[in-house]
Amino acid sequence: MLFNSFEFLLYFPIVTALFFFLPHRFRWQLLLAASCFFYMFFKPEYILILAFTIVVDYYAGILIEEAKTAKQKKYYLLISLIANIGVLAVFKYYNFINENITGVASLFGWKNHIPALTMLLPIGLSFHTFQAMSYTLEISRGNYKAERHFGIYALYVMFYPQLVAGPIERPQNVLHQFHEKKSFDYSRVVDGLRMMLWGMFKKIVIADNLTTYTDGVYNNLHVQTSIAIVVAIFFFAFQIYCDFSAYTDIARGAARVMGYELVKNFNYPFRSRNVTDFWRRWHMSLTTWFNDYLFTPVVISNRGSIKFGIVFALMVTFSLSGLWHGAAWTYVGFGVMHGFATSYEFLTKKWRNRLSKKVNPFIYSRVSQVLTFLFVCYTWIFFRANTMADAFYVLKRIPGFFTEIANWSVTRTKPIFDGSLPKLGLIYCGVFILLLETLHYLDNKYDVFNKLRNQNIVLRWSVYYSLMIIMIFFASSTAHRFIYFQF
Amino acid sequence: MAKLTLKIILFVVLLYIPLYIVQKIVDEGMHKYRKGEYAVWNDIYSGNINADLIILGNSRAFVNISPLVLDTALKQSAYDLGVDGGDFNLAYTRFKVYLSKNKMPKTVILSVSTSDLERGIGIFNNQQFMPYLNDTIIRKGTAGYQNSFTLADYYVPAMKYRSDPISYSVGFNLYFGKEVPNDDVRVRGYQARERVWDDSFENFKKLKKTYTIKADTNLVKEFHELIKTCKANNVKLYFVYSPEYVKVQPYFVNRATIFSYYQDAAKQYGIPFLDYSNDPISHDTTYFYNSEHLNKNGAETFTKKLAQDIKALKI
Repeated sequence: MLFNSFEFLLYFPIVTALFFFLPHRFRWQLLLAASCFFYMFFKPEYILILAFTIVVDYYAGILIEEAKTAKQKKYYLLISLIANIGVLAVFKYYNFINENITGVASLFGWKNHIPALTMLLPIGLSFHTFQAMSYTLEISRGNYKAERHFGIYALYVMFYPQLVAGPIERPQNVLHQFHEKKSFDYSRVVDGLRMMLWGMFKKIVIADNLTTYTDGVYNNLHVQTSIAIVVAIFFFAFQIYCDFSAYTDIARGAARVMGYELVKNFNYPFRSRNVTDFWRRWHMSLTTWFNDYLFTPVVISNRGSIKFGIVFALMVTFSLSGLWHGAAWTYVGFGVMHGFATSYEFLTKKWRNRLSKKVNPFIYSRVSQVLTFLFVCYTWIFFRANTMADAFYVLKRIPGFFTEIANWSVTRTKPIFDGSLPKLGLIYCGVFILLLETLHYLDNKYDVFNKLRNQNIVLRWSVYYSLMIIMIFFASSTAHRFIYFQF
Repeated sequence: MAKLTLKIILFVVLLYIPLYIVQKIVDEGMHKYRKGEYAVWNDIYSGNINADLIILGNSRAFVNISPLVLDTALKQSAYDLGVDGGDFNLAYTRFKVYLSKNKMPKTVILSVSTSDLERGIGIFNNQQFMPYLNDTIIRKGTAGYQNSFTLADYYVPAMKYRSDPISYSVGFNLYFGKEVPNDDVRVRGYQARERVWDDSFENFKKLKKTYTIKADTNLVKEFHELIKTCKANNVKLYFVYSPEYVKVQPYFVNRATIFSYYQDAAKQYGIPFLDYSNDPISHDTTYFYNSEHLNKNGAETFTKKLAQDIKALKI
């Protein structure tokens, strides 16, 4: 079920009302059933994949905890990891690997007879497998005790608000919350609803309207002007931010209404002053996952040579993080570029610190923000492009932007966006981006979202009405899926 | 919890009422709109067409066949229900709506094309359906496309007109009795296009693409349903393949297969199939403005010929 669908508008109040009416002992059953329904709305049979990993990880967790020797512990952990990574490998990476085998084989004139899988990728697979893996990893590290209640464990993996696109939770943060009795708290519920409203606004007004342009351009690159391509590159940055952060806001809001707190996933990423900072602010739950379970162990295993160890760990982590997003070389390219950037930042940290002291801090900070934003937009070309060839084609067309601007008298006589994309929508998009950035600025500086809570009803309701009215009048005519669903 | 529930209900009611009024105004205004497809829908919903002869199909119906010529030649009141960019499902949907509001015609001319039985990916100009989304026939007929309407379009007031300032502007203006410009006039559903042969076919050739039409089983089923409805109500039915520029025909590689659907049905139900795809008109670009559509002169010349042929059949 999509958060931005009419079905969810009915589903959410029904599930929430039932949650508060039912006694505490029945609530996990309700949430588990509701989560199954939510997931099965996409493709019912894929719940079996989830069921498989849940059963394996549940027992693996108990066996790891009860293991008498370190070897046994490692053995059970390995079973859990193989089951989870195996599911990912089969359903997400099989065709990618197979296509590459075919490519390599054809270089030698051989034929690859391994058939391709024709099934669709189960929604949110990378999210729930990573969440499941963090459970057994935490138990094996002795950071958490195995959950004995099968239903609660299943709920940990399947909790509907964050089931398909995170945030990727850790057992320490969530599992105990399912055991706690949640009561109805007016201000908390309103807080959650407010968060959901803001998320819906970002998704259906900003992200979906921007999608019309970015899809229009990226799917027909060869008929676009360079101006259109450059606009689409920047639009995609705001689209992906609004799309993904909207999902997180709705997920966190829906959970908060019922009394559950999910981790924060975004912290104004476009204010980042370097790429390392960006990853501390963007998809934070994934960054910490990779940091804890991949980067740190790789650094430790190479502790003999710290500099090399860190650069190596950064490259491995970001390449795999790119691959986590999708089974295509474009995603790997995206990850590798971030690996290089963070490695560069690590190696030049001292030099950059010295430089920052010589330059006016305001200018240094703004220039750093702009450069980081430009770099991230650049790497998102690879993230968004349909193929590697398309990504390079986009790069090739960027210089044309300046030529077209320089020859504006000629450019203006032709349609900028191949004529098929409405000009009015383009103006809306610009206004919405401006609105988003203004609100972010105000929130960052004056904490306006929190202060709204304490305002009188007239002001509060005026804000809610304004958001609702904008949503109803300016929502995109097509409801698009959340980008991160495909991962 | 009761306090919050009451507040939410109050919030929703206060939001719903003004939006409902806005939607009502725009709907009512759009019901007076005379531009393009809106004019046809509004004529249908007014229930005043009640024509003896109805022309069904896509743009090739409302551009290539003139009801005004048929009217004079066959002495039957005629109306063209051709729907722009529509597959057979949308043409049939329009016919079903027509029958729900108007009397059964005596004659139906079904304008067929190569691509009619292939389900369209999206609905072309889906705004045309917005003022009539309360109608279950429209809801069913527009379902299953990439840009189909959602439950929010049906039940959240004003949501269906989102991101469509033109509908708001036209709807409000017409509701309050102001005039709006109309550059897309239809006369009894028909649109005479005074154009000359353009470069679209040359551009089409440059693509060097061929097309294989995939007939959709549901659309084929609907096609047979239409025939049965006509038969059950003693409606004279004619299949007409209006002129199509001959040089475009080889680009549709399974054209013969698609034709066989029409030929087989014609044979099975005893329906005359008038095929003009190899008529002298189809060889002469002066009658066309693009490979599929006749210009005013072409449409009128062709319709006169069609009327004579129908007369000659003496059915």
